[in-house]
Amino acid sequence: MFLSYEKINILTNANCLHEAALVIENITSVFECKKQVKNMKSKITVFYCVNCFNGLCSLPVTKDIELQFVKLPCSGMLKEVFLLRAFESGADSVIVLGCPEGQCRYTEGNIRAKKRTAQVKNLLNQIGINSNRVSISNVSSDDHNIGEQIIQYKLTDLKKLGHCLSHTELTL
Amino acid sequence: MIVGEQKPITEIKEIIAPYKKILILGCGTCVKTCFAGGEDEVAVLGSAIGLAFKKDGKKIEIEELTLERQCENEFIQEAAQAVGRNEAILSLGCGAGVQAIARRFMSTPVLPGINTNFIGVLERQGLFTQECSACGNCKLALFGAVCPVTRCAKKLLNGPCGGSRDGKCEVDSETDCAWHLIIERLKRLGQLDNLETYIPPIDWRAGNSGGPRRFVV
Repeated sequence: MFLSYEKINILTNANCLHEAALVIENITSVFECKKQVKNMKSKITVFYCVNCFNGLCSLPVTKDIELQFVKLPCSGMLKEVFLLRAFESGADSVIVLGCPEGQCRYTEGNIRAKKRTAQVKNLLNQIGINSNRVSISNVSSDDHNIGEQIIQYKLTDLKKLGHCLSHTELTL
Repeated sequence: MIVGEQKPITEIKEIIAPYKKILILGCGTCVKTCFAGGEDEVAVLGSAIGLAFKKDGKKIEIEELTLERQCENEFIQEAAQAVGRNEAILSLGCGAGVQAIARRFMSTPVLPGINTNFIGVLERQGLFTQECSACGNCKLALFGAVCPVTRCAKKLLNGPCGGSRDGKCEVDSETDCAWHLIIERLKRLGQLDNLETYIPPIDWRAGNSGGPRRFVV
């Protein structure tokens, strides 16, 4: 087993073998955690209304990105708990795609989705999670690329924000 | 209807901190209507607490259940098994509900998850207003069914204070002047003569000031 200079230093300072073993154990677990965090994918969950977005995304799939699409008959079907559960199950960011205001097939589904997203933002703030991780966008069905552009923008944004929950927090 | 609002997550986190297994108990009657303690709110709160604890690196087990009414024994007994599986109950019922649950399950801590505000009505979507103070001495027949005890900031019973402007209260410009509403309503009903009736000071003993009240049928 390869021992770094830091580890050896700690070992020589440790009073007994038992303590040294504990130190090694702790250091190893920290290194493993860091490795796991490094290996963690950036996960984005997209809730979309079928009337404005087709769920097809031509973004290049890479090892460190995971996109999950959830189809809704109308963005008004979205509930606050869906967004929170997405974060609970490891999403780093959640995007809601609804029709432009005034163009909802069910009159005000997109307005309801907007209110519910705002409520979740408020909850995330209280929890201590950056509320920018959840966003709602109004997408026109005529513009096929806008959905992808939003996801792409979110991915670059995630590089700054990092992971929502660490690997150890997720397994709790 | 009893109107309440959910406590902030930070306060709820502090309240439930000593426990590892929590039952979030909703109420499907009044507090459901005001979006504070129904089935949906229980699910959202459960998820939010779970997320908050994960964020803090702590573990908690959450069970969710919503009763039809928390203030009636007939419905409370449905929670018995779920209560047995948990260390504490976080009740999203009104103050009466929390106490009724606590009385039934003596050995389990029952914690309040909402702040009970008032007896009111849904005026329009998302707006609840206080309409009744439960003073125990209803005089609504004289006032055209507008309660000055609750809706007048000064609780005046024998005419307006004279400080209102454009039908709004001088204490809060967003609140309607109760006496403006009373006079308008009595005019429409042709009962303005009612205002000639002198109303003696209220006997507050029939209300909260007389201590806990009982009602026997």
